[in-house]
Amino acid sequence: MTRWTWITTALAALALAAGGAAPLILPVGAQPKPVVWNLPHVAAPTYYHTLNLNALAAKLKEKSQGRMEIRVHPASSLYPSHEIIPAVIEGRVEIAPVVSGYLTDVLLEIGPLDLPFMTSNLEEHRKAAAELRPFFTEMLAKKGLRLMAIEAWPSQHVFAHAPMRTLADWKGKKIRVYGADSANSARFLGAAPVNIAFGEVYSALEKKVVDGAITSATNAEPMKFFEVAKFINYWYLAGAGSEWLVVNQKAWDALPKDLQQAVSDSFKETRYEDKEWEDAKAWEEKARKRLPELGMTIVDPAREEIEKARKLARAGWDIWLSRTGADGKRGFELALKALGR
Amino acid sequence: MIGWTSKAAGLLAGLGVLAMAGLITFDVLMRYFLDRPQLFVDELASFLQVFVVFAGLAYTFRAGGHVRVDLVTSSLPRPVRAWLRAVTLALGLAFLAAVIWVTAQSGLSAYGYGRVSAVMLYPLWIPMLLIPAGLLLMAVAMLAAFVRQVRLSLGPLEGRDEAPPPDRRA
Repeated sequence: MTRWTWITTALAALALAAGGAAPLILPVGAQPKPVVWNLPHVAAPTYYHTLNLNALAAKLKEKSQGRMEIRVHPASSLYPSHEIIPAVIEGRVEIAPVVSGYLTDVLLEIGPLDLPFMTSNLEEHRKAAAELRPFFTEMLAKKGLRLMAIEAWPSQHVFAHAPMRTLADWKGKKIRVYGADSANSARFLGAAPVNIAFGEVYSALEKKVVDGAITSATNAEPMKFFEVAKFINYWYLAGAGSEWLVVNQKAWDALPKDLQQAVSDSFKETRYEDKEWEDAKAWEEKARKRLPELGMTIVDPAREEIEKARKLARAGWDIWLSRTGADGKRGFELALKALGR
Repeated sequence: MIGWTSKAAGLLAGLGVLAMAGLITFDVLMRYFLDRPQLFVDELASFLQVFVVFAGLAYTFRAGGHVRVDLVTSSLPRPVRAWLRAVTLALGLAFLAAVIWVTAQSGLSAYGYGRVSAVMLYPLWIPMLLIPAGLLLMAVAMLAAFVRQVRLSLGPLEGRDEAPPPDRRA
């Protein structure tokens, strides 16, 4: 054997020995990598959805003793709003909210409660959503999603430069909308819908590109809408905006049984779903108290005016039904039954 | 053929810019003077913007219009520069292949789900598939440039250098 062969053989033996010994020299108590679930969201980091999700993530880390983590990515920082639903269906993320405001195609049939003027307030919306839970579970399962919680965004109203007390006040006004259903509602009520992204609502109101904007009253302070719109008209275009927190079923099935239990226990121990609805109500009440302090005038249209608007907006329900097929029709009928209509 | 197709796509991209400007002006005028905002403009203009960017890629490449940093390469010996250019073109092709694959999958998935735009409910697979289509045209143009570059790098020593973009304007 030549000298080089000896050296090569010795080096190879050393490498094999080092490789073979590697498991033996791992630090005692070293943990395998934790299971990480990514959770994209549209809500701001300080909004109650994000706060509650962070609390859930902290509880899960504690319950699983660090073996599992949920990483919350707020303010559309992981996926833009409309991409979140396909992302969780395709398994690009393991857990995500299905926000009713972004139901434009996939899962459209789960949104009957979110049709314009279908529900009148958070309590009514919550009660009906609870009754529709089996329907939601079934529809989500068809897309390979496991329903973990039903939650809500606060009710939708109209920020405007002028008071809108009656249906006649809608006529000819340029109103910011955020989707096909809200555009139809604005049109049926006599307004001219303008599609404006949420982030551009402030400048659109400021430059009077629009006369008003449909969004939640809770956005008045964080988005500084009070600086550019002096009136908030409480039309309750939606009593609440549904949101379903779902897990990709394959991601769920891939978890060991004890981690599945830790996830379920974390939801229970943080009272996640109850807390979400309580916060929606608390934030809505807080916003209503705060609006006059911010210099805004609250306008409460008469109940009869809202009823008239509801009748007109029903034409938009038919359009929705024509797009959602048999499942949508079933959900719609269940919604009407749950609401006693 | 590649040159003709790139030029045609580039011309269409230019017309796309014109169409966008026309549509947005129309919307502003209708909204401002007649209180009749045109809902379709916002989404159509977004789709046109995608078309303008990706349809113009191959034409811009062939005209040498994409941003390049030549701080180091300009001071290298010409034969080294020639081979370096061949390597970077090969890397570019590999990168384009990956992006074409991912964006095509994304467009096909949008078709499968029947995804539509938020307000006007236009099918989203059309603008989404414009992305891999534009990238594919650029990849073909880049492949031709790569072949040309390798030939030049293997040719006579005095001629070895970066091949100039085929449609560079003076």
